[in-house]
Amino acid sequence: MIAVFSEYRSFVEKLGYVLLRPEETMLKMHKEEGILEGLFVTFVFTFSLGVLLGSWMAKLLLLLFPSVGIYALSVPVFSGLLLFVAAAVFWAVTSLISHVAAKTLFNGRGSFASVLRLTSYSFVPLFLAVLGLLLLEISGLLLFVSILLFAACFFLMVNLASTAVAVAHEIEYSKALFCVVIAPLTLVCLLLTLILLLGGIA
Amino acid sequence: MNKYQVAGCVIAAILLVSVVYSIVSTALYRPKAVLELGYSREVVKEVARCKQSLVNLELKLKAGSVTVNCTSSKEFTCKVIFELKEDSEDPVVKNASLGNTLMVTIFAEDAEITVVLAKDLKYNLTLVVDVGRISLKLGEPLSVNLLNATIKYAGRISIALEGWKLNKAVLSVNEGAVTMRTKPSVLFGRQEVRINVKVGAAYVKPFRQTPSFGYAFNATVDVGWIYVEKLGAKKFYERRDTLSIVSSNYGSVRNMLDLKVRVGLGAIVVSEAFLFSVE
Repeated sequence: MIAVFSEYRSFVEKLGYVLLRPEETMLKMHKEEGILEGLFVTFVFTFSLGVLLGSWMAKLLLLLFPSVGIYALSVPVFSGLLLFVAAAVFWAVTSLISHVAAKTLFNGRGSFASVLRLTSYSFVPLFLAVLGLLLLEISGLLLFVSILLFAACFFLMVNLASTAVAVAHEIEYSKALFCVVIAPLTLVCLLLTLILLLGGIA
Repeated sequence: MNKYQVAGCVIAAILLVSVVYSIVSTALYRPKAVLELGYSREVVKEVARCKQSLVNLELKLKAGSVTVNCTSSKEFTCKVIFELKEDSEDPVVKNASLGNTLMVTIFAEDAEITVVLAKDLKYNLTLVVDVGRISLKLGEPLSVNLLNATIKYAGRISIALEGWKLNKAVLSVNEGAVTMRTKPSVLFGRQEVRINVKVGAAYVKPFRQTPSFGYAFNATVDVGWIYVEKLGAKKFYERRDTLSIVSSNYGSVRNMLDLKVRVGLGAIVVSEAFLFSVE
């Protein structure tokens, strides 16, 4: 890990750079290799969120079936792992779609590995969603603040993913935004239409 | 420490706190028993045997449920088992003699009550529950001259006429439902049951005419429908307003049930047995 974070004093500092100066940081990261670090970032953020969501499920389970006892602790861990796997799949699929869109529509020059590595950092704003859920846990009155944090998390994630694609493929930000948002959405809509049509015929 | 390190530390701290909090709060979580009704205290009261053979039993309950059972024991006139909340007041059970009749009055605020009656005595039962349930399911013969069961505001009455020596029953629900099931082979003499539901539904499970049993059934819905459930079919027959079915042997046999059901707003569901002689 030390070799990977060599540009920065620590991984924590790197996260700060990604959040505050995304473009510059991603330009530096563009030169790095391997996707292990991306996988690690995805794991850290999605696992934390999954554990928090899982603790709610565990408490509900304990409320309904108090005899579950200490075994309820497995729910947050399992939920964290489940969310990590789901997020990893989502990350791979959306990165692939964005990469293909950037390559075919805007003559992007980047590689899929590079897109995958850089877009993994778009999970960093998930800490805002975690904070929103923690605030909700403290008091339901903080719902409005939580909603604002969720919205901020979403927009920051889209921003970081777009920056990542723009840097990886050396294309404009607006084009990258199209690849990150419009292309996957269009594909999902087309797939859903196809499924519905086939379902209707069957 | 530069601003990037601070931002990174904040992110790391939030994640760490969330994970630690999730695990610790789950480990220390002690669920409050919000799903339990909290009836934790049992109080049993008995009304001793006396010379009277007719018992007028009047029970009033504000919230909860009443279940009526019977026993062949001759030790008491009636036994009342209350399941109460820890902090609730003790229920009241009073009795007084009036000629050949013993008057028993029972009152409770919030409880689950089980009333055990003696089979060898004759009863007039008046059960009034403000909000809750009245359940009358008796498998052994019990002699009830008059049964008056009322849900004053909202709730449900379920009655199984199996082995009752009953003259007349009036079951009234303001908002809620009445479910009635009967076994004609164990009914004796002429019995009259009236069901009144202001808003809600009444469900009458099947009974058929037999050589020794006849019936007259009248159902009225002011606003709503009467559904006659057809045997083996998925659809219901719908009949508006009224439905009247009288068995061909009505009046000529000794064992008869006169059933009148009235629903103000809602529905009456009648099982298929009546279909053979719908008028």
